[in-house]
Amino acid sequence: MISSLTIGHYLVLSGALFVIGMAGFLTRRNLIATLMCIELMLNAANLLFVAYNRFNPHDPAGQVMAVFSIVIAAGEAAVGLAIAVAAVRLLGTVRTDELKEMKG
Amino acid sequence: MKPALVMFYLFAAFSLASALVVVLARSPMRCAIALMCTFLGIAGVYGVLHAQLLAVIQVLVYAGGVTALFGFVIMTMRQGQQVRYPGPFMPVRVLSLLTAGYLVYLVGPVLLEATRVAGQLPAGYGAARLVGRLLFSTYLVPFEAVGILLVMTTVAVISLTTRERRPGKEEGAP
Repeated sequence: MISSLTIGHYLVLSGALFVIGMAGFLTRRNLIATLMCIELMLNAANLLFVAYNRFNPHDPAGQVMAVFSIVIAAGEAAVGLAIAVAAVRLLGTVRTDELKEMKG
Repeated sequence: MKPALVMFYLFAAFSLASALVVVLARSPMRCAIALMCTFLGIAGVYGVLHAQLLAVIQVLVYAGGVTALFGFVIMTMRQGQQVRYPGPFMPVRVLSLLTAGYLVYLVGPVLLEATRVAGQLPAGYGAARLVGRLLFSTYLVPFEAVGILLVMTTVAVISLTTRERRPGKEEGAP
């Protein structure tokens, strides 16, 4: 049993979160649930920013990057949800296997 | 065990369990609530990492803002019939399990060697003063660029969601 927190703990947590989000992103067929899984993956990346910053604490640039990442993720969620609302209005569905407008 | 370790395991288990609920739950509303729990768990991990400002931002922006946005969008949509779709084919499952196993085989030894322990913290680490000063000095240009990006996002969202009016049918016209 490891008796203190190492960088490996955060790496494992972030990797697990990312993999869960990726699995959901690939398997969910609801556009909104897909967006939620993208948020999970972005959070895993943010966690790594903050964790690595904790192990190099004299330059808090990692936390600043995490702030930027959070802002961009929030904007991405807003645009994605707007696309979902527009899809429901125009095509009547948010199921990704029924949205075939762009299919070649 | 140190208290920080206990807290880390607690928050990590909480966020991983709710992340699984996000992926596995069928009702979108349940997914949104689980997503909020995941964000709160990650905020707790930020607290363990002594990044207080980011923990607060995480609770405000993610657990508050983004989840509320998801909730509102889900509520405005008709809850359609919950159709059960068939799962992935058997070869796909076997292939994905093999790929995941290979990834663990590749990454696992590296993770076991990553045993760097955090050192002493400088005074004021993670506080709003330090991060804010950096945001407004070294990272001022990216900060303003993010502001422009947010304005563009707002315009994009408005133009995506407003209904188009047919030409010739002006409002108030007879």
